[in-house]
Amino acid sequence: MKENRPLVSIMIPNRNHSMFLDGCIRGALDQTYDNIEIIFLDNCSTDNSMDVASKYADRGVMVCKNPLNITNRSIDLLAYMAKGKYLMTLFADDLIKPTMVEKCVSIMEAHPEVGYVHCERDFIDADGTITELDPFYNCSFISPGWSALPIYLLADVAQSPQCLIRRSVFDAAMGFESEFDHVNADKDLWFRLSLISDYAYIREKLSLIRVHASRETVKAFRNFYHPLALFLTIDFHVRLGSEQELHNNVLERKAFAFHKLALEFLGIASFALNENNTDLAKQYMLFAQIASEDIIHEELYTYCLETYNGTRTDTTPDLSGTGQDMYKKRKRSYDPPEGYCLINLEDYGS
Amino acid sequence: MEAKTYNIVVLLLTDNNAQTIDRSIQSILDQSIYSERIKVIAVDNHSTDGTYKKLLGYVKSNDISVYRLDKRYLKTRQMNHANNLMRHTMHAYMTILEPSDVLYPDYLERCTNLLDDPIKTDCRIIFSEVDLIDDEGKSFKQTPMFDEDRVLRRKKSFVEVFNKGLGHKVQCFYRAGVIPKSLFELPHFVDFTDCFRKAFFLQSHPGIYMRTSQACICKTKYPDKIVDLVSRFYLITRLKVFRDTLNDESVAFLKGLDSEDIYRNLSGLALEYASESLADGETGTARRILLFAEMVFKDIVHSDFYSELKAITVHKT
Repeated sequence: MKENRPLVSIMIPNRNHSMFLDGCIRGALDQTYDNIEIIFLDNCSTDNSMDVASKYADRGVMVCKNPLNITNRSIDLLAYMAKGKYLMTLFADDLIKPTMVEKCVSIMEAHPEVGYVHCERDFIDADGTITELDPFYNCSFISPGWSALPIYLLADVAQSPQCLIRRSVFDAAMGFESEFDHVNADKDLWFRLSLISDYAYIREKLSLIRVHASRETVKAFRNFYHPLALFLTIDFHVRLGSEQELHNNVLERKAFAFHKLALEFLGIASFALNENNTDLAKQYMLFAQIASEDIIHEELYTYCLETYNGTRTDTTPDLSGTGQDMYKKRKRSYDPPEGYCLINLEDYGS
Repeated sequence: MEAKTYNIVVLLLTDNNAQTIDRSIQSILDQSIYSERIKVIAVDNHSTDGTYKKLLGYVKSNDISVYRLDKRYLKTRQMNHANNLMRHTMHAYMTILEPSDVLYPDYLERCTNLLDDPIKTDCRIIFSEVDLIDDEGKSFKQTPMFDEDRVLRRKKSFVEVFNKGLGHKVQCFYRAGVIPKSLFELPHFVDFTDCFRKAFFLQSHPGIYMRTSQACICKTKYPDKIVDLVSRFYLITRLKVFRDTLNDESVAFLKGLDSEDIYRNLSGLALEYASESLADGETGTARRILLFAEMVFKDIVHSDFYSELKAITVHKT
């Protein structure tokens, strides 16, 4: 039977996540789907990751190690090594549930026009505490790729461990853009896949995404690489969408997308102000205005400006809806993109 | 000794430039070097203004090669396609000519002589100064990056050229293999238009700097100045993240990125862009560019040029 089922490649890039590796690799090994290759690629870890991963070599996991830390480019190498009809990137601190691959494959096999499928997730912290999230959409569906495009300008719908990608579409979309840090790279990949294929969404929580303390998140913003990448990604997507005249829906959301980004920048600015890092806060406040001039009319901008100038007395603003609470529970469950058709997982024998 | 087959490729990127395509191609045909050594390969970005028809005429009259893309792509993607289309060409050297640009008659001869020289076999890329011309035919001189011709050392010259070439245009001549087969090894928005971006090749290859102007290049205005500035800032930041991630001797040459100069220069370039925007009546863009200038180098606000531009912006608003 196994021979009749298409091969799925689960690619696990790792850097110093030894404490999470057992759960991650076991999750990949314990899938109900039975034709899977697992490739683990260590990015020159300084912890005992290789010791942990090597335990699974006897169970068929291809355990590999880079000669140096090549950051995101590990995913390029993994994609090069992978032989599956379907690909999945499972970051080493994340987890998948046993039926994840089976459910995704059943939909992809029934719908060859679908290039990638997302399932839902919850968040899990370093101690294993789970934060339940509302699913992004309010039903399971298949939609045309073009109608999903503008969503990726505005929201983080899913991360790699929630996704199975058809290899042929991955290649046609020119693969993973290793320029971006991985959160941004995910979004970029979903966008480029949507330009050339249909999209499926399973409203079932089949992945757990590891989140780190919000201060860690701010750390990623401190070197200013991340905001610049976010800004350029939106611009790049608007231009890519405009290359194909059908996709005016992307252009229409440009101003809103930059405004939303500006709000995120202000969220980081307020964090920086709370840490008395006024230079960084000022940079973010300026960048917020570059992204969207109208941002100065937002309450959060006034808060940041007054705090920066030392004229504010109230120090406990309501920061909900800003970049600060990005890993807290949010109200979601939106309608699917235009032109969708509902799917029922039971119809696919999974 | 005369080469029997071509070993220099001039890659011509065309994109709706029927008005100026003749002068670009003529400048290649007029090169002093044996014409048999040169192969022109045009990659047309689905032009609809007659450019493509003209290229087909040159195929017949001058045996150039032409590829036509199935639709119009962003510039970086046109370059990506061109790179892929060239993978089976056999050449020792390559230069890229962008729409409307012209090479001076002895450019290819001077460059090949330099790289053919056995003493310079290590050098793989030549950065040449250029003259600039705007859409109205007005010409401009750039302040040369260096005072004299010199060898650019691999890695060691990278930050220097990166910094000096921030807003500079150059013409580059490459030994085969300098441009990676997969442009995805480079940032997605590398479009080869200026020295700043071309400097990336100095991370891997030594080169030569030629101070005399070797070509005349269009002083194209960036379609989006803010995106251009943000991309430059991104490239600098990206290299710092890369350096700090690797944190070893192999990237020690990137220490120079901590110098204040590069941010001061980037901020200065932003002021030039802001000034251009004001001249074009784009006050809103100028205002945002001034914010950018302050964001990358906060002390720029104390400069006279900044104050002057700020005052004009406020007045016009």
